[in-house]
Parts: sequence; structure tokens; C-alpha cells
Amino acid sequence: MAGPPNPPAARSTVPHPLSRRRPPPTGDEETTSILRLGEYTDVPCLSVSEANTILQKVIEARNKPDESGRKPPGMPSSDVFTKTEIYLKLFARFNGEQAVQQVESVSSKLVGPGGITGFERAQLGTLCCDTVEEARTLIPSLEGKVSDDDLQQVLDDISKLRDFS
Amino acid sequence: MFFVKTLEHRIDLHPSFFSASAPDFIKEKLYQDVEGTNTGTFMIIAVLQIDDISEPKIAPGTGFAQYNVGYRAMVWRPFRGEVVDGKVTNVVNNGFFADVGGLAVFVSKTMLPPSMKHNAEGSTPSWSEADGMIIERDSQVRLRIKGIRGELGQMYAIGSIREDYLGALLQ
Repeated sequence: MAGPPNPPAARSTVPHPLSRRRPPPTGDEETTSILRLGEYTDVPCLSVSEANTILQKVIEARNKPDESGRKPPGMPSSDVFTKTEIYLKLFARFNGEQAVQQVESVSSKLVGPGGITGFERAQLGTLCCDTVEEARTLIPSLEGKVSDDDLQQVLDDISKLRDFS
Repeated sequence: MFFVKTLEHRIDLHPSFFSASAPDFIKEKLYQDVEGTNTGTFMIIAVLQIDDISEPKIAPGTGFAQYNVGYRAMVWRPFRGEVVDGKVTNVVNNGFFADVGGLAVFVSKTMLPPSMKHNAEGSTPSWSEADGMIIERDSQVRLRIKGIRGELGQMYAIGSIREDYLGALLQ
């Protein structure tokens, strides 16, 4: 093979790593007045209601018996899964696929360059604020992003779709 | 915050499973290995879609075939500074614990509004204000995550309700 000759091997007792280590999280991710999401920067976000709808569908599909009649794979029984499932059912403010989709389209109007990010859109759908002041306090990164009128309009639209049962 | 993240996982398949239905075994193994796990920074809740299963490669020295499976999963990743809702599980005299999904968040006395007092008597200890909110077991609270620490398999967090619009939610 072409290339420079290898330097004389140094005496080392540590074996050569065989696989690339997972890149460690930088540790400075935060969602305060600036959004620093690290490797989650362009990853699609889901509000609690959206995640609940999707999870319910996955559970339904997974518990249906296979075409060949084999036992359905079912869902994991771990703590993480059961706690998350209960949490989503408890805190989902919009029930029903239609309501969730309407909330998504209403809040997506503010997303885009010069507007809010996907993360903030999902936060609005999760927290269901009543006033612009509340939204800007709970989501500090909204500072300076959209006009108060546009934001209040979206909050009102979201409140209308809320299910108070 | 819930995300739909693209991830990769390596699966070793024993030769007894080499058959036409190997992809089904791969799928089930992926669900078993990865769903409901906590990596220390995020939790994988459910696999939504398997994007691709690579060509198998026999590992030299063993008979196992290695597959690299690319998939998309619903994950939950808490961020420092994020406002989340949770359910109170335990009230102690130093504060209270609340469960946010699979994460237990501790809110200490110093992160509660100064007007809140601890009531230890009775069957349900609680934190309450004179004319305002009561926080006891099973109350729903809105808190801000102040710090997160993670090690493989476990996450610990501390939170605060010492701000406007945080604290017990009306149910």
C-alpha cells in the first residue's frame, strides 16, 4: 500500500478502540432566553397532545394480531414506558386527532424565519397559555420573536379548541 | 420535550434465525432492545418507523450476523430551563418530588415561593400558601427544570416553582 511507513509502535497497554464512542453531550443545552438544543436543533418536536395521539396509535397497531395470526408484539413493560403513557393521557389537553391537527395548523402559522421555532410551537401546544404575558414568561425564548397581536390570536385559537371534559 | 429522532442500533442475529422471516425477528429485537429505555440524556418511548435494515455482515470469529438498523422513534428529552407539567408523588419537609413522565424532579424548599409553608400533620403532608395553592400528593404542578444530571439508565432533575405562572394547576 502506498503511504508513509508506520512509526515504530509505542509500548501501550490500552487496546485500540474498536468502535467510535458516542459523542458526549456538550452539557450546555438549555431552553432559557436562548434556545440551545444541541443535537436536537432541527429535530421535529411534539407537544404533549400530539405525542399522546401518536402513542395511542402505535399501541393500537402493535396490539393488533399479525396477518399470519402470530401473537402481536405488544408494548414494553418498563417503568419508563408505563409512566410516560400515563403522563401523556393525564396531561394531553386536546383529545381526538382532529383537534390535535387543528392546533398544529394554527400554531404552525407562527413558525418560520423571523418567527418561532418548532420547539416553541410545541411548547405553546403543551402549556396552553391564556395571555401573551404568560406565554412569554413561561417560554422566555419568545422574547422579540412574534408580535403580541399575532401571538394572542394564536393563543385564542388554541383555547377555543380545548377540551374541558 | 418529545421529539421524533432518527437513531441507529446494531443487532446481532443468531444463525438459528437466518430465514425468510429474519427482518421480523430484527424488528422484534429492536423493539425489545430499545423501547422504554433511558440512556441518561433521553428516553426512547416507542419506535415509530424502521427506515432501513442494512445488509447483514457476519462477525468474524462468531456466527452472528450484524445488522445496522436505522429507525425513527418518539423520544423524550428534558432541557434545562424548560417548563413542564408533572404530578406530585411525595411531599417531604425539604420540598416535594414530582414525576414528569419517567423523570423524578425534586423541587426544594428554596425553590418554592417564600409564602409557602409545610404542613406535616394529618395523613397528607402538604405545602400551602395562606390564601392560595396547596401542593400535596397527586396534585398537578407546572415547574421549570433547573438542572439535570444523567448517568446511563437514570436521570435526576431539580426544578423550581418560584416564578409567575408556575405552581399548582387548577384541576
